[in-house]
Order: sequence, then C-alpha cells, then structure tokens
Amino acid sequence: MKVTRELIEKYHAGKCTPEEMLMVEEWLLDDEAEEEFIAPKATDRKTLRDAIWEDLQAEIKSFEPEKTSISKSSFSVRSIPFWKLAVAAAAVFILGTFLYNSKQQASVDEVFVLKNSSDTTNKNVSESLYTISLAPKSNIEIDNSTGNIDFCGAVLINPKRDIEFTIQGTCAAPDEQKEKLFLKKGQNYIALNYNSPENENEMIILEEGSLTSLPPVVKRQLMEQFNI
Amino acid sequence: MTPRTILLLSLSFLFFSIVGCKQSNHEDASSKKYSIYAGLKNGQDFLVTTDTIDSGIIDPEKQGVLADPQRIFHDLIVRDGHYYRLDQRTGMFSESTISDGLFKENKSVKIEGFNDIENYNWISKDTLMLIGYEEKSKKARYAKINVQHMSVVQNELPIPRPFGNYNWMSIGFSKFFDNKLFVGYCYHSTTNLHSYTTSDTLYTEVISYPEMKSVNRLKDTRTTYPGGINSAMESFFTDESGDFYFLACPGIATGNVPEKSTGILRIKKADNQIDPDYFFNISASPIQNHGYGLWYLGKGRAIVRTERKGVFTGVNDHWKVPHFDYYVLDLIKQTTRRLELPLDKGTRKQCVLVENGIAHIAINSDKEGSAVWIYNPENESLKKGLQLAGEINYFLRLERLN
Repeated sequence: MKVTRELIEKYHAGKCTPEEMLMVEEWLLDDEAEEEFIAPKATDRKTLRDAIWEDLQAEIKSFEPEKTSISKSSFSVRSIPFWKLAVAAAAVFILGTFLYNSKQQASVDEVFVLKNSSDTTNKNVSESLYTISLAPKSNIEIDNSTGNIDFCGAVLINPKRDIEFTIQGTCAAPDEQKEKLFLKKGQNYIALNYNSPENENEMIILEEGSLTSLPPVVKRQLMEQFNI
Repeated sequence: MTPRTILLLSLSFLFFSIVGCKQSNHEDASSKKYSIYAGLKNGQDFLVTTDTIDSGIIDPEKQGVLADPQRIFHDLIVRDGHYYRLDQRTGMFSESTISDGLFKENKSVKIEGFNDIENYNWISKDTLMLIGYEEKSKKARYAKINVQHMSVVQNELPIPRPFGNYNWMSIGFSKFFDNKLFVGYCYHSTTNLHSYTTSDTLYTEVISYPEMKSVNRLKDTRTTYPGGINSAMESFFTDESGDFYFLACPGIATGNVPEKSTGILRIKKADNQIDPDYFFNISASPIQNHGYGLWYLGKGRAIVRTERKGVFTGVNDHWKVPHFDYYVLDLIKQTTRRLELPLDKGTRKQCVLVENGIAHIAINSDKEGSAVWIYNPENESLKKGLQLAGEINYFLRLERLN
C-alpha cells in the first residue's frame, strides 16, 4: 500500500486502522524513503506563495479573538492529563520530523549546488535524482524545477531516472552556450569546459560511450579522473 | 491440455525457431572474408561479416551480432577470423570470435601495468607486439603476446619518459625495419582536463630488436603528433620499395596545435633517418585542412582523410557532423585530387581497405546513407558497392577478417 494524501488526511482525522497508523508513522520517520518531489514551476511560485499567505492571514484573523481570551491561568499544564500530553508530544515530534524532512527534501531537490576547490580529488555526491562526480576546481548548480544545469569545469552525471536537462557551461561565456540533453537512467554523462586554440571556451557534453571520439589525450585524462 | 499449456508450448516453439534461425545465419560468420562494424541510431553497435563488399545490401542488426561489450570500434585488431582487444578498465587482453550468433570471448590474459594500446604490429602470424603509454607509471611499455598460448612478455619501452613541463605522451607509429623497431612519439602538457598542448618536436626512437635497446633518436620540428592509434585508424605505411611514410596530425582531434601543418614525412629504408628533403604539406596544399587518416593505394599514391573547416564547430561536434573529405595523393609529385564522395562522419574510423590496388571506402553520410564506395585509381572510377541497411549512424570499420 502507498502512503497517499488521503491516507495522511485520514491519519490526522484519527480514522486510521492501527496498521495504517504504523505505516504512515514509518513513512514520516523514514529518511531513505523514495520520494518524487515535483517542485512547482518558477512562474507558479509567486501565485502559490500569495495564496498560502492569504490562507494564513485568514487563519490568524480567525484565531485572534480566541487568543486574547486565553488567560495564563486557564492554560495550565497541570490541568491536562498526562496521556494527552504524551500524545501531543508525539504528534509534535512526528509533525516536526515530517516538516523538517519535507524542508530538507525541497531544498535539496529544488536547487543543488556543489563546489570542489580541491586541486586533485573529485567530489562525489548521491542525490535522489542523480549521482554527481565533480572534478577538481569545478562547480555545478542544478535547478531541478527548471532542469537547468550551470557548471564550470568538468562533471560526471549519472541520472537515477530518465531526465532532460539544459546544460550550460557558465565559464563558457560570453556567447552563453546551452545544450538540451535527454539523459538516460544509469548512463554516465560528462560535461566539460574545454579550450582548444581554435575554439576557446568550448562546451563538450557526451555520453561515456562517445569518449573514444575525443582527442586520445583528453579521453585518457577523463577516464583517469572519473575512474571509468 | 489447458490453454495455458498450449500457449507455453507455442511460445517455446517460437523461441527455439528464432534461436535456430539466428544460429544458422551465423554459423560460418567467422570464416567470411570481411568484417564490418556499424553504430546504429538506437545507440547499439553491431558486427557483421560478409564475403563480398562490391555490391549488395547487408543489415548489421538483422544479419550481424551485437558487439560485446559495446563501443569497441577503436580497439579491435582483426586477423584470421579473430578479434583481439585490450580492455582499458581491466587490462585483460582477449580473443573473440563470432559464433552461434554471438560475439564470444574465447580466451584472455591479464597484462599488468598495461591498459591502453596506442600501436600494434604483427611480428609473426601468432605474435603481436602492443605498445602503449601508461599514465600511472609515466612509462611507455611494450607487450609481446603469443595469441595461440596467450603468453605475454612485457617491459618498459626504451624511450624517455615525459620531462620538464610535459606530463603525458602519445605513441603514434611503430615499424620494424630489419632488426630495428622505429617508434614515433611526442609529448604533451595537460592542464586540469581543460586543455593540452603537444611538443613542437616529433621524435622517432630507433630500437634494436630483439634486444629492445635504444640505438638512435630522430627529431623533426616541421610538424608534430606523428601517426595515431592504429587500431582506430591507419596513418602510416610502407611502399613497394620499403620506404616508410607517416602522417603527422597536429589538428584539434589529436595534436591540438593547429598552427602546425598536417603533413607526410618519410623514412627511407636505406637511410634509417627522417628524410629532411621530403615533406608533403597537406595543410598548405589545395586541401587547406588538417587530416588524420592515411592509406597506401600502391604505385606512389595514397588516400588521405581530411576535415573540413567551417562545417564543424570544434571538438564537441567533430565526430558527429559529416565533414570529412577523401583525397588521392601523388606522394612524389605532391599533387592532390578530391574524391567525389559524400562528406563522411566519425573522427577516427578504420574506413579504407585497399585490395589489389582498388580502394574500398566506408562512408556514412546523413543524406546518402552508409555504403562501401569503390575507387579504382587506374581509371579514376568511383562507384557505390555494398550498402548497409537499417538505421545506421556510423560505419566505423571495414576490414579483412580472413
């Protein structure tokens, strides 16, 4: 069974069976759970933000009179039974974990930034959508909501599912080269800023299988650097 | 009999029919005369063998076998029905054949400290000399392999390791003259993957054989990056009189010093020296471009494969865009004549096979399809021969298998 929005709502309404409750709680506490986070498009974000803010303001307004009526003495911890406190603490803990995870997920998924200032070693990172190996003196920024990758240096990307990216070598300016590429799950792709005497700041993007078409010296260097 | 049993039996029958059919198609594949390697648009590489390349149509996907592993088109050494290659990741040297509809490995041997072939030479029918530069130890090495027994003798090649600002080297040709081995090489400086340059001197080491001791070092500064990886593409040959010619390739696909000229140099058999009076400057000829492949036609004529400036933008699309021309050269008069062929694609290809003075050229054109073109230098005729059917992206190798 999958944890759905309906199931979570059922959980919050206290209508879940013990089995369903256990499943939701395990899901909420599981850091490793595969989640497909689809970030809203940049254009929709403002509308979404405004809508959330409006909802919040309405909530605050409706809450205000009640707030003023609550006196310090009437809100005594002692007056609440212990079991209710325990449930509340557990609920706060679960909700807190959920919100923390969601926040983490959103920030990792929306924009991924990595810099490698080492002179010799690669920086390897595994994300939910891809693994990245960043060569020395390189950096990369991936906006997962737009599929834009800006990089400078050399990077190897291995996507965990089929995915389309628009790749731009930021240090390849001024003529801002961009290339749209459909990356297949499980394949190694290499993006490289390259200088040749005839074409400075060239951007090379290729699937690992095409490495052999590069100048032999470059091919061998990339194979050594990315251990492929 | 239940419907499920009937379905299962029918499927089994269908499966064995297909397998049986495929096997009968391939049962004598390794005894055919020619081998073809094609890269398909779906990304898969196939090998197919045939007895004729002068006419007809062949479908590598339907009539051939899947290359296993894939993308080995620059690595193959083909002889007597066998395919030899070195796995760059594992250092395993293997022999494979096409049998039962599969590209099957027969035997292999690990060559320690050797993970790239830059040049090979057959010393005898069963003995192969491999030469390569090993980056980790910064040494040029050779390995002599008896392919019957898969026994290996290997050692460092007596040529100077990269020195000064140089941190890499390339070995571009190897040629046995009597009891000597001539090895052409150059050095490189590389910077953080982003660029590299090549020494402005090309070197040729003269090594006594079988002692493998350096006896002389020849230098030339007229151009650089001698030869190339000869399992990927040919760039040197010996003519009828025993004189040795090699192409030096400073273009962006190899030497990366395009201000130098692509040119042909010669080592006369009698002199054991790079002929100071001979230099066929390809870049300064009417070709006006860099080139990377060279094949001997006989009678002082050769074919050179050259890039065409302005059609490609750089290294990023050098192999993807059809921009390669073929020119017939007169090596003595130093004249050039373009062959009226569609522009070819693929930076390095084993694409010219000369038999009895007739050239067979493997062309893959996005517009005119993939085919063998036959050029007869006697009457200068050019016609289309065997055509490849299917969704072909690259026609990467055409060679004698037996």
